Amino acid sequence: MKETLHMTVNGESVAVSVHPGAMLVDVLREDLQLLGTKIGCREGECGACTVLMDGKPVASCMVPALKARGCEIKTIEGVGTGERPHVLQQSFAREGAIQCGYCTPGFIMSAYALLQENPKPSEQEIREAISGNLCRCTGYTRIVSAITKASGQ
Amino acid sequence: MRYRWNTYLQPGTVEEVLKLLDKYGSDARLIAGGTDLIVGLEKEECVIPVLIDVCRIKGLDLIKLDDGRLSIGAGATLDGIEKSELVRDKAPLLVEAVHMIGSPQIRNTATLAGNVGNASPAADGTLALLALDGSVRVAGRSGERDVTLSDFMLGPGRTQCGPGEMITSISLPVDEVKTNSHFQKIGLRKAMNIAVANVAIALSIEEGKVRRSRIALGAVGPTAIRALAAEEALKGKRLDDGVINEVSELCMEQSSPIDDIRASAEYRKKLIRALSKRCMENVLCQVK
Repeated sequence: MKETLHMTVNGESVAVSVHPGAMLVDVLREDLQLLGTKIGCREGECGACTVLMDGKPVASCMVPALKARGCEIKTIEGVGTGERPHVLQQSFAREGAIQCGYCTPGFIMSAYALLQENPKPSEQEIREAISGNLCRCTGYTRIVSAITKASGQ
Repeated sequence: MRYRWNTYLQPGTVEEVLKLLDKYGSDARLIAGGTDLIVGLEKEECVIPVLIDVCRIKGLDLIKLDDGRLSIGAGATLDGIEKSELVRDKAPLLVEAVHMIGSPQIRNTATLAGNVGNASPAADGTLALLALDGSVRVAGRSGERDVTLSDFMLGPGRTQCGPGEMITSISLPVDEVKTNSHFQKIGLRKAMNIAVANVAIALSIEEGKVRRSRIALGAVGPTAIRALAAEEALKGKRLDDGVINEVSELCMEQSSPIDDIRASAEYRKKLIRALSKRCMENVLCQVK
């Protein structure tokens, strides 16, 4: 028995018919065709699926879709686009913080949430904010400096 | 697409939850944040007929002072708890412990009640609550009851919360006695890891002497434990290097870890000694 999920995604109200067992990441990717959010582990460990739920980073692979009823979801598509990139996206590109790019949307979501709450974070605060995001390519150093530079420090 | 449950209910009151638990029996499981439950379901590859989400219960996420106790609703997220002015003021040890759980993504979804209810012997939230004389409020058919944390934990994955029951809040006494505390955790990583060993210490020190002591050790027994002999040894003493060394040896002796995939029992015992020492040294710095 499908249920209707009403939520706001990147500022737009949406109503999606979902199986009660669906996870938020699959609804975003399959039903809403927002493919920027990636799936890495389906265990909430890698952070590739990070989206903002009412402003807070969550692992969307572990959020039952119906939990998002009435919530505001922001995905990477809501942060910036190719034509109008967010300062974080520009900084990541400039600083060499992107190699394969698979982890990048998740990192940007965590960094975006951090800068909303703490516009001038220390290195320690940055590292804590991204502690739920894994990168196999870059070794993290350039990701940390990209976020630092994006914060204007 | 593989679905792990067929029905997802979001009742608005505790009474509704209890009625649903009665109605569905063993076909239903409770979910708060789901960060332990969903990982477990993936591993067990099982399908649950009914999931009952408690997070829409009005007021279940409240953190408040109630009759001399700090009460933390079962729906309060770890993030809400570590940012709460009330908790930071009255139970900084809990804030330290909660901050070491998972990652920001996990803490934004997970609950303290879930950490306690999941009953891992290595749980960080549970450990701090044990050192803070915490209690769990359980609601069931016969009404509500309060259970001390040590009574509540029965073994790995087992608690006194039975079928047809749910945790509604967790509370701890708040008194005027000044307490200094510290939490230490060592795992295989700096974040997103289960403790290989963890220690929570809360001491009340008056005129340089220990008046009241609580020492809780995690991941070194079937549940988190209080190191009672070590607590006794501290009473009336001044914290100095000699006492700290002696008491941390006692902590090591009181632990009974096993070998598992994360570490050996021998390593865990030594870790307990080192972490207890660090906690006491930190408390000593605080009071100086």
